[in-house]
Amino acid sequence: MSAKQYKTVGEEAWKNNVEKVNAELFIFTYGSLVVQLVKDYEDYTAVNKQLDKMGYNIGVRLIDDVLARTGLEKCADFHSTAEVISKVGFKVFLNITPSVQNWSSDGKEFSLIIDDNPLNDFCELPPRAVQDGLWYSNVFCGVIRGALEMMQMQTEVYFVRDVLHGADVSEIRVKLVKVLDEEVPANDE
Amino acid sequence: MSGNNSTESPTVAARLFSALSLDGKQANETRQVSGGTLELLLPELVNTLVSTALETKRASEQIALGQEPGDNKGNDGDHSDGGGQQLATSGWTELPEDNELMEQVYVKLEMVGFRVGRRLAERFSPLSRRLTDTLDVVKFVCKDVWMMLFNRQIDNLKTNHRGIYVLQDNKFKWFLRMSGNSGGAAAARRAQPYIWLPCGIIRGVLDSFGISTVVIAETLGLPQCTFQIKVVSSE
Repeated sequence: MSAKQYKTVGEEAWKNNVEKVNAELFIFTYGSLVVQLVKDYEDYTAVNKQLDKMGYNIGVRLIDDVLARTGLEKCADFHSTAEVISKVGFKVFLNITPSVQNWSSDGKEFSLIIDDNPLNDFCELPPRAVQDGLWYSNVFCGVIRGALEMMQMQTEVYFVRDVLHGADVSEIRVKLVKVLDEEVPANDE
Repeated sequence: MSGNNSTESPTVAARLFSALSLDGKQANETRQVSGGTLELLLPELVNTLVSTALETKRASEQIALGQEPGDNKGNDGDHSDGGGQQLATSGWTELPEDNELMEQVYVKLEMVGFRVGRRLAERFSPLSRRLTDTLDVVKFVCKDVWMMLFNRQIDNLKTNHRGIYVLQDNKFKWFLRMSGNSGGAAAARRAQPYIWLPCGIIRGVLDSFGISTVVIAETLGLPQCTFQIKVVSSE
């Protein structure tokens, strides 16, 4: 499938198969959770880690939902994977479509460029949080990592820059580490 | 002596949206996301707060025992990973039996909700400025806030006209998918954290109108849920 076809799949799913709600409750709930984690950990690195872990758990559950809503099957290659994340995954849940850019020459790394992150609405980070490297939307990284792991891809996913740190766009780097063995262990039914 | 105000048609909600479109910068974009997005986040939110409460408790126990906090880092990791695994399959984890711990989780979740309520009220202040007495604000919660949160209104509102308001939702949205096969009591227990968040939200909304309250919730059987708001007089 071409990028354009994935775009259509995402838009159709958003239009027909998704219950749409006002974003505020989600945005405020996420924001309030981050505040709580900052209070609890008093350490931005620990908060990043916690958000990533949370995202991972969401990602492993979310993948089935995406496949069910769209009728998509396993991607043939990593390029299609990138297109599906951007044009289907982000579209279906958040109604945004980050662009896929900066492919590495070996085709194992790309960036998602987000210029319209709903989580950033109404959000401003204190200077201290920026300085100490809080990646406010780090949950996204975990979600992508978790979802891809369910598709037998082990990845590293991390923020490179963030609008909330003063960058003009946010950039998430996705790096394919290895394709996991698909065989199901004998003792697993 | 309870008056019974059944909720009316969503005219206030309609006004809310027209008020939104007049709201400066965000004018033409009432942003929408999938309802599923929040439903994915919620169990993880509860889980995360359970695990942070657990870590805090362990750390303080270690201090009490004269150990450096973080001595059992390895064990901590194992435990939280275990929680994650469990979640991966079900989405809804079993909660710890430790009541003291769950009390901590309650405090955190309620605070998360409280901040959400404050911000929702601020965000929709063009409408809310017209509300003058407590009953108006409670009605605002029953209709507009509930509509915003759950796409439905509270089914029933009762008050004793002396500072107690009882809100009943017969199909509380976050309970609808929680019909476990573990039976009534266990399911109700597992569902409990999901009503602490809206308790906080209600308290937050009322607080931003200068009304201090205590909000508690109970369920007599999923998916029914009752919220009791008690106004705390400031005099």
